[in-house]
Amino acid sequence: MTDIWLVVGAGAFATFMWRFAGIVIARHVDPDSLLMVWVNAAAHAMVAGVMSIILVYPVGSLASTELEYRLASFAVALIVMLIFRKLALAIAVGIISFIFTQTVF
Amino acid sequence: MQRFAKPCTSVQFRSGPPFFLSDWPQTLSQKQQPEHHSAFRTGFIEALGIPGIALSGTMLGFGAIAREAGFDFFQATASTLLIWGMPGQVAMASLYAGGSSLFVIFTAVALANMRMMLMSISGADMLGLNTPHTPFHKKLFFIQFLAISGWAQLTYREAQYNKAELRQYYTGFTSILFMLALSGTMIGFMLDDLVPAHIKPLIIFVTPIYILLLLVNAKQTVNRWAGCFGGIICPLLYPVFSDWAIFIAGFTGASLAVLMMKFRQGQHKSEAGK
Repeated sequence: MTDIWLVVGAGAFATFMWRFAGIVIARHVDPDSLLMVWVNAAAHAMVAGVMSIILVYPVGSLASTELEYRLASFAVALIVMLIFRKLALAIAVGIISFIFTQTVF
Repeated sequence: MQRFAKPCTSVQFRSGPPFFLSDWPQTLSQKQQPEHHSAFRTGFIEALGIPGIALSGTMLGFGAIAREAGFDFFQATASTLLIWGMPGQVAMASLYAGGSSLFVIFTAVALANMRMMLMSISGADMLGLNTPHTPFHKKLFFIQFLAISGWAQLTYREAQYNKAELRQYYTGFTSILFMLALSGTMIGFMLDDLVPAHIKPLIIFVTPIYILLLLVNAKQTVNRWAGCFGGIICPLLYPVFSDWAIFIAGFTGASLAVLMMKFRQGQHKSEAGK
């Protein structure tokens, strides 16, 4: 089996190369250009994608909970966020909803 | 400009900004420095709230996964220290435990963390790092600490600070977040049973809803659309394309959002022309 330090090094390099590339490319992108608008939008879309995968296809202990309850709790938090525009309130309501689904159902 | 937080008196940073910012080329005058300190302090304190609790809880999970995979204490800690990208770390430990080759692990981590490139470009722009006066190693140092939580927080706070203040805010925020994540990894490795089993799902659940709600609050409409498209497209494609789904969702989501923006701009122009 591969040495774990090699694995950690490979993982670190596989991540660092993207950060390095980002810094190099960033110098050549006009902050007011359409390309920068697209890059920002793509970063938002990718991060939202990663987070939604954690919600929909979780690994570890979150996988022991029901998909419907996870999505319903997030939906409640989102509705509160859109109505009241209070981040802390929305997260609190989302967490309470999740606890509620886990204890009551 | 309206500030998010009033100056806090409970925590004092008498020595000023961290050493690596002390010779920043765009250093503001003495008169403006209290704003810098305030931004640093606000970032510091905000990271101790929900983001810090959620991330350290998530890293508790990673510490446990790494131990199960056969990592020792230092290897698990080094993973968080050097990679600083949770999805890639989990992919690395899980694939190693499954006996995958080094090439497969490298490719999986690279795919899982591909978003770092776009986040770095976006983060460098938000933090005002793209000036010819900024040394390359300083840019790299700043961006090495950029991960999802810090980047999402930057997008949320971008409207409230100028770039110099935002760098201070980011420094305060990520330094605490990084320390909490390292502590979480170490504690998770040593004391997997510390957190009761029924609490673990709740801790892990907080991170995705927190980040997604931050994205809903993105300053630019086009970014909010992109987040919505990415969040919907990615899980739909994931069963077929696995980690490639993140890349496809990013590309497609951003392109659709930019097209919608251009379409709406065209509509506004034609309405204004009538």
